[in-house]
Amino acid sequence: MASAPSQVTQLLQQWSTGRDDARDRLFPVIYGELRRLAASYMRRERADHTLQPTALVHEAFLKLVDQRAVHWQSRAHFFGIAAQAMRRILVDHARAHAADKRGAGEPPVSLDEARMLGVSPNVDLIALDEALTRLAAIDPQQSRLVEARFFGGLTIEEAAELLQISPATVGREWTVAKAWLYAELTGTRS
Amino acid sequence: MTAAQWTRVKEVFQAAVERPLDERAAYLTGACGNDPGLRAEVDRLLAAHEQAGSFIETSATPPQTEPATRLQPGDRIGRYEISGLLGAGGMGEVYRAYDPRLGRQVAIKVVPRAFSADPDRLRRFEQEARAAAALTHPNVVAVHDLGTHEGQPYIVSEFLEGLTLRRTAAAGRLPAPKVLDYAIQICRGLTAAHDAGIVHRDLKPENLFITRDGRLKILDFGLAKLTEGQPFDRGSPATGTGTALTTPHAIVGTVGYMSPEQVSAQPVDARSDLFSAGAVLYELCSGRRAFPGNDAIEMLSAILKDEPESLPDTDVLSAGLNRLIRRCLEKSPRDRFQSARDLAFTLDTLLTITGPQPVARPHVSSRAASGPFRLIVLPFDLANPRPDDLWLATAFADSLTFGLRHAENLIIVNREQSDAAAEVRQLADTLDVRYCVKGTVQRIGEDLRVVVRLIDTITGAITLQESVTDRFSNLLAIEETLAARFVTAFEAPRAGPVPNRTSSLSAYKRVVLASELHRTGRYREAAHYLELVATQDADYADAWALLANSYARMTSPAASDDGTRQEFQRKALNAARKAAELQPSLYEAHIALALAYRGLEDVERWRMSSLKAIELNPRLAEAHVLLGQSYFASPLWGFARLRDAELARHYLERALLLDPRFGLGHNALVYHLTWDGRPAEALVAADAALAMLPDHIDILRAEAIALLRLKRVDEAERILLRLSTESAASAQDEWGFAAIDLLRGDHGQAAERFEAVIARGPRAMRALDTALIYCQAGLFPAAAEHLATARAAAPSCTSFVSQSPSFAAYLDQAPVAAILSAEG
Repeated sequence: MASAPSQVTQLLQQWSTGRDDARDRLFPVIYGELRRLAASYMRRERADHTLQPTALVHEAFLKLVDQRAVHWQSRAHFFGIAAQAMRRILVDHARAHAADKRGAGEPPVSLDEARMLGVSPNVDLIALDEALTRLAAIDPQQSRLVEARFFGGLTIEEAAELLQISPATVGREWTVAKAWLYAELTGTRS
Repeated sequence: MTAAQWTRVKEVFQAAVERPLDERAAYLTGACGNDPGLRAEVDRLLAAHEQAGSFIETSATPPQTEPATRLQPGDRIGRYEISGLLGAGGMGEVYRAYDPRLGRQVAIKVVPRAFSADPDRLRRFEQEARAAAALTHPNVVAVHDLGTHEGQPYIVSEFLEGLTLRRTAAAGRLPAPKVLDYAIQICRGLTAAHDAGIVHRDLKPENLFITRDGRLKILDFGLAKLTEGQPFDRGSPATGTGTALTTPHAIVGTVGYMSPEQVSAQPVDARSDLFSAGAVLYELCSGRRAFPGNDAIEMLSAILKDEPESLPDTDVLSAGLNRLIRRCLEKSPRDRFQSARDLAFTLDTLLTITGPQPVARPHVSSRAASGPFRLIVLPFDLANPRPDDLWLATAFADSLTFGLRHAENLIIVNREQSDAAAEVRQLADTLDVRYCVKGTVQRIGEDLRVVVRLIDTITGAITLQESVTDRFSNLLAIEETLAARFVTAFEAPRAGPVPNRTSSLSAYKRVVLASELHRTGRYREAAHYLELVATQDADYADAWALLANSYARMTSPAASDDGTRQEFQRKALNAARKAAELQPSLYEAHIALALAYRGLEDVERWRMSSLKAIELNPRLAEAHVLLGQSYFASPLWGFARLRDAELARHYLERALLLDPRFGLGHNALVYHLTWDGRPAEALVAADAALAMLPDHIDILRAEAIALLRLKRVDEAERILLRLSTESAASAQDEWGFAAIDLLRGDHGQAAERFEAVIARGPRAMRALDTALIYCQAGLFPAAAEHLATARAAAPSCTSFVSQSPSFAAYLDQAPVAAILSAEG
């Protein structure tokens, strides 16, 4: 565990100097840390506390990254990956939950985590995940934007930094992506 | 749809959305022309746009409720009454419970059904657990009883207070003498079990418990039988962990400490436990896993193939430990110690060679001088000052402090009044500062001449000297020039926006004066000045942040009454929001927000604001204190939060490492330890703090409470009397006097005084304080009355009480238990 912070910091540095393989190596570390954090939150307290993925992502950043050693663009990189990891954790859980209801299959997340991570009441996460994958095929940037904002809790400004576009563009792209996803999930017709 | 088609859909949609409703149809007809596909898709998106509302606008959120299967306080398992959840893990939930027959607290582990579905496996588990229950050894948790509750097996064991080794060692490696101590205790426990023919099979830091008095207990003998073989059992998808191998980190906790024979599904004997013990000890010595990996497969492969990286032999003891850990970690059982007894013998030899050594907690100021440099900026000297110029001494020190804060290789230590007169050498010793900044301001007609020196406290040499002469009216420019030159000297200025300052010299002067008042705890006067500044320059973010901070300080339960508190809370939040709005990157703005949310008990925002502040500047202490407080064990600042004594301590100690003289940080630590049931440690912390900050009122106040908790009445009284001659008696002090009356047996006077203090508020917190002191005095009916008062004011306080280490010893008392179990 002691090596995790310097490892993540190093990988972020490598990424910012153009080594794209660093990105792939970051994912499992950040993913693992987020799951671990989620599980440890659960052990610590009970019903009266709600967990925000956004807070988890921030706490993971604080734990894993030596902030003196990375450029501030690396922060956006980190949050981008964390959003992706959070998406997988939440969607895996939603799948497990759905499988559970059907009485078939086994949860890919542990019992502990299943208690911790839930589903936004108004959004079908599995359908959203699938729609996002379709969206990525025609517009990868929009897919990443939704991932960053919805699963990572990034603000418009942070998402702009991540995607290297202006906050105003983020706003416009968000409007389109939101409408498209809503249409896909609800079968909206004109 | 192709990318080109999509681009066109986006363009038309975005353009349509930006037009008023009544112009859209015409626009669309024109834009889509004779492309019905485009028109249909845009229409579909527009319809969705109108209906979508807040769809995906708030990020994915967790469930609001717990599953109903979990046992609640008051539920029964067999004859045991559940009083609360202690924890939950892969192997089930652990509850705290009361055994009315024997009148004692117990811990009950309920094993999930998933693990107990196979009757054959269940029988083997029970056999083993019964054998373990027959063990009585101080290093093995005592098992009292076994049973089945609605088809789920449960184990009743002794109730322990303390932490698992995983949590004890969470901060990294442990000193070698401590590792030796734990190693010996693990070995003794294992020897007893192995002698009885029981192999643990799942030794890991989570299963090793350190009690409050430092004794190590091995938990969960026999439980591993339930899950044995499961991670590899791909053929039976019904097992809970069947897919874990493909999921990074999912079963890491267990996998990382398995022996090679377990990994390759060979027969397992006592020597397997020695391998696992070796892996645990390796981690304690190094702070690293013996067999690291990103997922289970990598770890398993490391266990089978890799030698753990060797550890440095820094002294006789660590060399001895390293040698015997290597021997435990031999791949073949034949090459390891053959029994726990053999290992224990070797450990004992090591102990006699090196002798028992006290294990001290590192002192906050003993930080190594490497890495970022610690620096203090002292108030400037004034040459031939006019009376009106005194504030300049503070202004220059503050502006340089502020500028240098953003240099990433510096940690700025806050200055105290007394520092101005101190010798540089002395500062280096007591504060561990490497550099000291000192300057002189001289008036020459309408000009100011300012000279600033950077002194290396080790050599005493002046490393840098800068001077600027300019018109007094250009004061702000002078300060900026000096700060910029110093920041450049330390290189690596932080890439961040420059703070918005004011252009009004008189507004600036007021802020400087206010910050001096704030520094000395005169928050009300500070707020007065800052309100005036707000009317002069409403866009001065620094001033708003300091104003918010001052109001928030005035909401402290130790300092104010219920009536004024709410007003100050409101003002604090408004001012903090204003500051953050004006300048989102201002550290102080987020500190102010965290303080305001803390006062309002909005835990989520309080933590987020603290985290945001730490992100903006991880080298400053205050945000760490605020974050630590959000995990406090005490009722101060409300009951709604997630409590975690170790995390609280971690963040507070980190804050004090950054700034050993952060008075509020010390105060927080003392208060926290007191409520975490460690008043003796709280006193040690208070003494350390007072050595650094003699006469600090807040720390003295906290010390008095710790003394009362230890029933050291006379000493507490001396402190409170001294405080009451120095400042107006606060509600907290009044409460202290009442507690003294009570502990001396003057019940009538005590009751009156408590009544008055509770009325001043905050009711729940004061009533809870009072209930606890009545418990300490053995007056449980009175304690129960105060608990009822507290509950009426804040219903959530009962869950705090049932989990609080301070109340733990009194929960069985009938009147207390009755209040806690009664409906609210």
